[in-house]
Amino acid sequence: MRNIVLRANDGADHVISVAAASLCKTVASLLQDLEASKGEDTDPLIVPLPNVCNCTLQKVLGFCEQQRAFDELCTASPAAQQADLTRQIQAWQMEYMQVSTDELYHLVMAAHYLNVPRLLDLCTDAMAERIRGKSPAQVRECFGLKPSLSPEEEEEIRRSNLWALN
Amino acid sequence: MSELSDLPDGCTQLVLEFLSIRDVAACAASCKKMAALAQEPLMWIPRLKADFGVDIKARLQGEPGGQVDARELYRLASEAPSKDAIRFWGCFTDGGCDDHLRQYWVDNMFAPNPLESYCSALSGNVNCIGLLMEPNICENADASKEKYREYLLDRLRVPAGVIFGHGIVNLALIQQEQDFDGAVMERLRSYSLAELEHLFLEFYVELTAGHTIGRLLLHGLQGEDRERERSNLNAVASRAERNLHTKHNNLCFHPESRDIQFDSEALPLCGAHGFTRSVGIVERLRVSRAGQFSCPVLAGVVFLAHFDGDAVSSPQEVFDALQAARDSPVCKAFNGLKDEKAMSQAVRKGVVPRRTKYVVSSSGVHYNFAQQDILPSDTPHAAIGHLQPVAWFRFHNRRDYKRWATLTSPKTLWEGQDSDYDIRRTRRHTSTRGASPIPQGAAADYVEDHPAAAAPPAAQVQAHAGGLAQFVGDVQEMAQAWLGGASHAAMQDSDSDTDMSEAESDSDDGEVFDEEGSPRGTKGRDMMHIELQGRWAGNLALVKLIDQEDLMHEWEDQHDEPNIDINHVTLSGSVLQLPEGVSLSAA
Repeated sequence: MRNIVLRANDGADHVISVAAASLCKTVASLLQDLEASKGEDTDPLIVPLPNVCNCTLQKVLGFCEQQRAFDELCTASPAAQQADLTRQIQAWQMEYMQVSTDELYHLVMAAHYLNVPRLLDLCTDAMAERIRGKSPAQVRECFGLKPSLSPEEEEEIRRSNLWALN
Repeated sequence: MSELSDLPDGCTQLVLEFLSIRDVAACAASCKKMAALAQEPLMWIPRLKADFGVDIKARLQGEPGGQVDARELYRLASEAPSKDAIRFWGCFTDGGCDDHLRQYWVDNMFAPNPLESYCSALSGNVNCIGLLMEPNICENADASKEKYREYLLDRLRVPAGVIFGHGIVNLALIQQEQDFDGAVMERLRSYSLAELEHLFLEFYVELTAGHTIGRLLLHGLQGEDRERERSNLNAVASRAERNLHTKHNNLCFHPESRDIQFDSEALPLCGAHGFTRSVGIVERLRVSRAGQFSCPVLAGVVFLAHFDGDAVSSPQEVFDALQAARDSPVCKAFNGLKDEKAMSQAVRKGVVPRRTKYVVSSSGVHYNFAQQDILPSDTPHAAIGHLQPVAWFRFHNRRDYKRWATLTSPKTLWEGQDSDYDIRRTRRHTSTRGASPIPQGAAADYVEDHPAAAAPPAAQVQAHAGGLAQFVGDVQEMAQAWLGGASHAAMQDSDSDTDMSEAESDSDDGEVFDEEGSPRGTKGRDMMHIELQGRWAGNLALVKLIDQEDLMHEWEDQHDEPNIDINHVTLSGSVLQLPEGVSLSAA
């Protein structure tokens, strides 16, 4: 079995299992290409990730390993326990998403770059959760956005969206 | 600080997808990038599907028609006024039409009035299709029919009053005494168009024969007015004659089966693709079998589909497409599913979609279906998208009605997981548990309590002596014919405002009895209101009439085989007009 090493932008290496790595579509396709060209091999696959910092990478890998474990549990458990398991997974994900907005931003970027659809879904949903119920000014404040619309433009957009507010 | 606006567009779009339209509007006003993203058709096309069931395909930018403003379309959908009836044009049936007569044609089922009905020729699994037309085409036709009906009512008011007065000449009536007049009109208004036409023709024949009673049609008119009205009467008589006795002459028939019929009449009226620009967004259904039917519908299912009119170019191609719809596997899968047990088995086999809700009312039971469950190979034709079963219904028979009659509002028996579907998925065939756990305690005791005495006639008239013997004789004869037996056609819905129950022998619990005191008809269990879960869109509605309740013995119906009779199926919600360049996806 080939080892996979993900290298963060500060040079830190993380060894992960093929099963967990397969959740990252980017890594999975690299692996596929490699096997297609070189055949079965035990040389470790080193994937440099110049866009991902060590701490974000750790967080992403934590997600991959945990989801892999949940997947195995799901296939092994009888139907009656599925609902219970789903609750467990949701609780874990909720805990996992207790991060700052800045960390969340980096997680989305990493999930996008590594192409981990499930993590991307989870993170974008968490971002949406931080937006819900906020006014335009509050959205700007929450994400540190500089005002790029003139007051007139903002008013125009607000007016054209009045129908959506009911 | 990292900015939300630095995220790749794809990610920001994902975030927006999780948000309600209210929150999307707040984001749009927060920065330039968000404002641009919130306008993207890609953002709104999936929402149109998720929130309204409308699946559109838009031409790409640069093509004729240009890029569609999907956000604007979404706004139109959310602001479209709610209508009690989205008027689908009933144009196809594969179950024939009783005696091939116009008065029982399938469009009567889609017309949202209780006065006319569809009566099939065949006895089960009858597929009826209605297409949504350009706005007002059907409505205008309905209005003109209504005007014709009003004319008949107006002319029949005095003569019918004489007949309803049980053959007694009442001068007070002719001088328009209010109470009696009101009662006469109430009774007349409960007649179907065909019944009014019959009655009219009876008087008209008397008029042309020069009899006094026929002249009542011209009551109140003098001189020139009377002559003018006489020629109107001639024209109306020939129209009534044609409606009643001629077969529907604009029908296309299947070469091998005369029962597969398509009415191409309205297609030329609305241009080649007239019906494709509108789509119905359906929230509720109403199924009525109110009327004096010998074979009222028992069970049925309603489907909706997207019909892409750009994919057909002639009435024959429309006919072919509609036949393909009724031949599709998901449509056929409902054949014979006349009770809950058959439904459960079909769900377990995986031939019909998962159910999401089971509801009982005093009239019957219904299942809702899951919207997203598309079964393989259920796209019947290049022009027709997935045929989506929306709701299955079954009216109570007399026995079940006794159990549920006292239910004042619909009761949800289960909602959410379909246990039969789960059995299929987990391949556990050991369980024999049904999917329909009817709570035993919920059934209220039913006490049979009904005064069987016949109600008095619609109105009583004071007898007046005198009158010509011939005239009295005519009146008696016609009164006998009109007040004696039951008619085939529908009467008013039992929950409509102008209930005719006073004119029938009617007991407190809604059951009707014949002269011998045996229960007769389906009163009290003839109307179902079905709330859909979410909104469902389509410009094609297919109603499959699966089975009938055979009451032929009650109404002395002498036919060899039962047919299926239904008053109407009404789809309520709103109508969205699609702009040029946008058509419904049939993929």
